[in-house]
Amino acid sequence: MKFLHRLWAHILIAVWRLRSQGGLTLAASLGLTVLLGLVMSIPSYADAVSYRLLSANLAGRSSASATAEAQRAPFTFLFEYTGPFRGASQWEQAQAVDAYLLRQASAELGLPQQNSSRILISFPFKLSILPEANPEEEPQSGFAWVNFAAMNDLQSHITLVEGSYPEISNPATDPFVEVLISEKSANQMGLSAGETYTLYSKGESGITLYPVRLAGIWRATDPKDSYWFYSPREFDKALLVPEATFLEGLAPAMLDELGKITWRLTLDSSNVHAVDAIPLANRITRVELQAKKLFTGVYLKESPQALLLEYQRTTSLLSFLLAAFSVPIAALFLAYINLVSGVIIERQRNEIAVLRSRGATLFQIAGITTLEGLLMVALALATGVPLSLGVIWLMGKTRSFLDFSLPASLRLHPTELSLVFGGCTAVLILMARLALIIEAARHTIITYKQEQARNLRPPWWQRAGLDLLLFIPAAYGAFLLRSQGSILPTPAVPTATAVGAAADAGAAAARAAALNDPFQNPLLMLAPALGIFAFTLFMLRLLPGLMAGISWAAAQSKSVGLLLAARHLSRSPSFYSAPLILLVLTLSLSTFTASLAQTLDQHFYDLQYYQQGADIRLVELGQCLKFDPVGNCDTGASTEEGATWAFIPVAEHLKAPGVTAAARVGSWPARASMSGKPITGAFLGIDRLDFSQVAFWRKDFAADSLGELMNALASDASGVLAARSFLKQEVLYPGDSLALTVDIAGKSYPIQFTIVGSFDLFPTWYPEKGPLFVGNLDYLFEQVQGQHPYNVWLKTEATPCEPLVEALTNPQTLALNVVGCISTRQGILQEQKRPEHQGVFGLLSVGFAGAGLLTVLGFLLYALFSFQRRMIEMGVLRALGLSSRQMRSFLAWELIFLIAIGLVVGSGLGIFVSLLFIPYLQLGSKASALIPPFTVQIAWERILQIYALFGLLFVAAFSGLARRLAHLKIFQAVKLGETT
Amino acid sequence: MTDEPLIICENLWRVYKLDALEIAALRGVNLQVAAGRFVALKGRSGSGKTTLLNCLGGLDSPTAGKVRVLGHDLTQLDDEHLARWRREQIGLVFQSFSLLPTLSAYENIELMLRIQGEEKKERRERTLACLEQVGLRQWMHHRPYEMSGGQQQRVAIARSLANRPRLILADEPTGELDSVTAREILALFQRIVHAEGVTLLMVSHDALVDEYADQILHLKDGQVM
Repeated sequence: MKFLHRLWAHILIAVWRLRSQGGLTLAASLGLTVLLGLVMSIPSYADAVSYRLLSANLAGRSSASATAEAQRAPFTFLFEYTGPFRGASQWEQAQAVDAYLLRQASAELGLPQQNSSRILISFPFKLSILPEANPEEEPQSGFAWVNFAAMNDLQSHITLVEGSYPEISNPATDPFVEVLISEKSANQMGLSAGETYTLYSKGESGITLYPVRLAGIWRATDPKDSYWFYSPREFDKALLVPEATFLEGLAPAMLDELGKITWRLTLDSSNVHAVDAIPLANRITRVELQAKKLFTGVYLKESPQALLLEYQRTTSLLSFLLAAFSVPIAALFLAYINLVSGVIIERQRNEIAVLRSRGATLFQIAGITTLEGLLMVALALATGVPLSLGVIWLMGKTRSFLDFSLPASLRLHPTELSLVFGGCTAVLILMARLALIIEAARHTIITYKQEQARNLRPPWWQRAGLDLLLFIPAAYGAFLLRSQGSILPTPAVPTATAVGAAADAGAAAARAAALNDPFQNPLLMLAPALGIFAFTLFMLRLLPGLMAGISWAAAQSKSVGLLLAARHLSRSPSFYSAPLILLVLTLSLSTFTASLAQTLDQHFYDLQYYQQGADIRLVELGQCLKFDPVGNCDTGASTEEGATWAFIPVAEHLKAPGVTAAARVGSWPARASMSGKPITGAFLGIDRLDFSQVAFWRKDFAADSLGELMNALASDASGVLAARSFLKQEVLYPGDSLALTVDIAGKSYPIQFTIVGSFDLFPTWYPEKGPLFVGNLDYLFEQVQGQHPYNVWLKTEATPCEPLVEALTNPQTLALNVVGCISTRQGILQEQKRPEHQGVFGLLSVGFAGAGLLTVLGFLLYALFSFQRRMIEMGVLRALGLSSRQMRSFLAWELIFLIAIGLVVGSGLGIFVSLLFIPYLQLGSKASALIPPFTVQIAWERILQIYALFGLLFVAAFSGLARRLAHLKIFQAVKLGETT
Repeated sequence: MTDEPLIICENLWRVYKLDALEIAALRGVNLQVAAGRFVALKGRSGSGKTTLLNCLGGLDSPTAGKVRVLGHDLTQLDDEHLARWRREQIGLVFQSFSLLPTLSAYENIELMLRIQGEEKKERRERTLACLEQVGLRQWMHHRPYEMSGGQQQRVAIARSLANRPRLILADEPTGELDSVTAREILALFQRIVHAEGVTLLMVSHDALVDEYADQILHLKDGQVM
């Protein structure tokens, strides 16, 4: 009881203390809320993206299903038993598995059951449709094969076209079994409701007869309803009966009544998270085994199991990406926590010292301040959860970096992991706070004054050389990255010059294999953040020297504000290290993040364009001139017989709306015989004049420009361009002859070429597929004595495929024979919606925005909290005669120095780290994801936006402080100086 | 030069408002201080000594009454004029020294002259002279936390002298010092007043002051006795 009284007293004191400095409490709580909101959003976001990935896969599976018209729910399980192949086919034998699947399986799978259904289908019978048929004889004609079928809850999903729903069969009162027949079969066979027929079955025990009455004719009310996981068309040949008729009337009378049973379970997957994938896949296996054990022959026909495993593999890369890109954000969060904890405790230090001097125990002080922290953190957690959902919502709308224009598509659901993250962050904040409090509570008012004097020394981490020590892991990480060429522990990412060396497919395969454990070496993920952190701290070591230089220069002038600010910054590094760390970290991480995002964005564009070659790629056939005896185009006609194909001039494509350039590009397999060893690759025939106008090209693709390469082809009709790696490997030089055998339409054509140039990469070419030779298309056609179908690459004004193909194939105008069209732009739009793409860009965007927001909050908090110290100083200076202009100048210079140093050092550091590390962040499980290599893009536009943001921050901080100083009561400030 | 007293207070009131509560720190103070004197203003804690000093230094505004210092009616001056007036004519010494911790003794004094807009040469000469006057020239490059309380107060006094003030206002300058050091400081003040012809108004409740002051004024419940 006494303890509770004490606790209550402590809580009251904590609340009172928080209320007494309401503004600061609110500001700190706001910062904590933003921090926790961002921290908690990351795991939930990763999970939501992963879940979308899973749902998209499952939906893809369902739409790929040939039989279903309806979209299946993601977690649909189909268990099936087909009697004729299994031996046992008695309902009694299936009852145990039936009960298990419908009543227990969902519990064992650990997911709530949304609905379930069962379809019972008998062996087929012959249905005589001849009214005059003799019921005692098996009909030889005029019959159809039909089954009895029963489905639960059928009545509410069908519409009766004619007749009524069948009554449950009772042989005692009615010898006829009442059935329903589909509208389609009834029409085909000319059957009507009310008619009676006989079903024949001839087994080992002789002929069995079932008199049936067509009670009604049905059609599905909504064929797209999820009830019809098998399309209603599947039941066209079934005579539907009530379940009770099947199980109680027909089954006991039949020898082998079960032709097929299907159980469908639809489970609620809304709570399935990425971490559940493997355990759930294991549980699915257990349920299937149990079902088989209960009734041999039951098997799991459809389940999300395979996709869960595939999903787990895919999300591994996604998780890696998100984790890798979260590290810098986490570093920023830590810096923010450090700043906020520091400024709050700094404000309370004097009070704590007074309390200690008056006899308060360390435990009491720690207790009260921890309670204060707990109250603030609890408030921040409560508001942080909805904020994190808001952040996820925003991230789910990401199209590209800071582009939130897609419709919201993510599940808003806080995961356990996010709460753990939030909890851990809260504990971290409390611990940081507690550590500072304990440190502060060691002092009485006397030792605090001494400590205050010592604050003019460099911060502890600088005295301990932590900044220098941090360089060791950062440099080692950078060295490892340089050595292995990628953040993933695999062979080097092909650079433009080394791409040939990566030609073997082994590199890509090894990389893909490594994805199984991309977290092998966390140092690689941490390297950029560690590098930034180490440089940031190191910069603070250099800063006093720089500021001392500035203050020396300022001392030569008559300036007051500039000199005071420069001297302050050069001589009291402990006071401003926290905000400066936050500023530099933010700027550098924002620059890094924005540059990474821009690089990824540009690379994404490059990747698509490299793969397709141009805005639009058309596959055209032209007009066939020769036909084989069956009437098909004779593509194998020999050259002696003349050309097989005729084509309209490619320039005709320019008549289509939106087309600005067009070039023919044909690709055929080719072999080069080098030292008696054939090397298989491809020959790309191009229109050298038009190609440079349509093709995607980057200057790092070749040592020469595309124009120079095309000129080289123009200088010699038989000229050919080849991969530099190939030339190097085969010791070939420009001017050398090259004999190639090109395979076209099943025929091989040996052709002599002359090497006229080289490249490292060429649009559409992936080195692992063998060497590429690029030559004149006209020369090739001359050599093979005729034209063959080729692709046409187009440059367009954002014209999509559909209207373009329509215009090109219009028989009234161009009448081209276009058989395929690929729009790179459309592909990009499609790809932008992929969860992996959204995942990374969403995180980068929010990380960037969060970094800015936290820094603004942190810096304003710093300015606000440190005002007390500044107020005393300013009060004394004002008392001594400092003019308000001089005072504002002092304040402005101090803020300018802090922000300018943050901006210059931060963005400089960000650019340096971007150039150093981004080339190693090119990830992908396929070789096509790695070519072309990254070209690091420095996001200058974003950097300028950050500068503008910090300009605003300066204005806000300055005007806020200046306003407060304008209302400064000098005598109060001086008096305050006497007491602190 | 006229014979007008350096400080004239007539019916000076200072009332602090705390929500609905009104606390009168000064209740119609009437006071005159002649030039070139070492005047001690004594009284118990809460008697209004510091409030009166603040009003005389233009650090606080009286609620009512007239305060005329060095020929200026302070109630008529705005903040900027008051700041200018202080930096040109007044020297201030505080109980806890109020030196800027990041600046050396030399820089603390030189800052006063810099604020005043003096040229570099004049700043240096005057600063060194002030340091010499308080006997701390050899400590000129030391920062406050490297000096004793007495030394810090000497630096503060040297700073107050830097602008060649006609009036020095000192608020409990010996409050944080031991008696030996306090005597040193008081002797220094006495020397300065007599050598420079400066007027010193010192708020104190230190009994030692009586030995050094030319005139002692007693303040009780906001009124001069």
